Amino acid sequence: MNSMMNMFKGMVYGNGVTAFFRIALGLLFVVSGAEKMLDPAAFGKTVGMYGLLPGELVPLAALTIPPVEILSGGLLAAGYRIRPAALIVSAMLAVFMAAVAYNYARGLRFDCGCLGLARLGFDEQIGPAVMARDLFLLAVSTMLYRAKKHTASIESFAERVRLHNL
Amino acid sequence: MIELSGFKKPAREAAVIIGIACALGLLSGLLHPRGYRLEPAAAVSRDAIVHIGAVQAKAKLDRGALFIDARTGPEFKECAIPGAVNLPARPEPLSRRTLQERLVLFEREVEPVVYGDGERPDIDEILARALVEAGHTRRAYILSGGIAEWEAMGFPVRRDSGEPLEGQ
Repeated sequence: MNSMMNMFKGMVYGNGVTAFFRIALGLLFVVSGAEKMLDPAAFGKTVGMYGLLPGELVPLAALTIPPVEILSGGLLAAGYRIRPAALIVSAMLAVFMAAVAYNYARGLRFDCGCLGLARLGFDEQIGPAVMARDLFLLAVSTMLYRAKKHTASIESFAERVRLHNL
Repeated sequence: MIELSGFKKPAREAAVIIGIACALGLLSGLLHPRGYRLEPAAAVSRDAIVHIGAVQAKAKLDRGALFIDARTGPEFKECAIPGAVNLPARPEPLSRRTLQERLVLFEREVEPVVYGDGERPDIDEILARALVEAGHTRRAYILSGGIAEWEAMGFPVRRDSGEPLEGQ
């Protein structure tokens, strides 16, 4: 029990596992953003189905959400500007979860359009499974925001160089 | 969950990142090979798509509503709700142009009821939205449980007769 607790504390402070989650979450956002950017019209349709934005704003969202995903995911994976990138990812996940919950509550069931996995045959219909996955990813991004140390990152490398040159 | 102390700096940096990403996104929209432009999406109000059960759908059928079968041609040929027409939305949803071409075939201005097999209501939803977006109707209904729910309620079904809509 104690060792579990220590492992968890180590993750929250920042260790190899934290770095793994950071890189994995970052790459996930890069891939998901790139998939949407390749077909913005299809993504725009999905955004429209959520019924949260007025029609005029749907194409704007379809064009701007994917690059935000790619840039914040890329920064996370590379380990540069980790806190702001984790903040953006957390905010996106929170908004997305609320949108899924709202549509699920009003009885709609459609492809969530989150990671583009539906094209590969995975079921990504809005529902508890998608919300649980996002909650997990939100916990990971919150942990990354709070972590003090980021191994295998540009930030830690730059810090090492800075200390070396003192 | 997120500490407020020291929040300003990452928030400011996050705003800059978002700004850069949005600018890149808008630029990519201008340069995209498929020419996706910032055209306003057709306003589909929230109550334009209504999910209904089999009993309500039967009442609409009795009043002469147009039923649109979103399943594939062979599935439609095998069994369908009497009087329904086939606009297969699978495996890929129909393009707006194809949809408009086929909608010309329906002269009735009615609020249609879209149904599928009940397993992929998201596809039925796409078709229903496309009907509204194309300006064919102000409101479209979706039979939530599809033809499976319809049959389970003991409502009439046409079996293995009739031809799918032209173009299948």
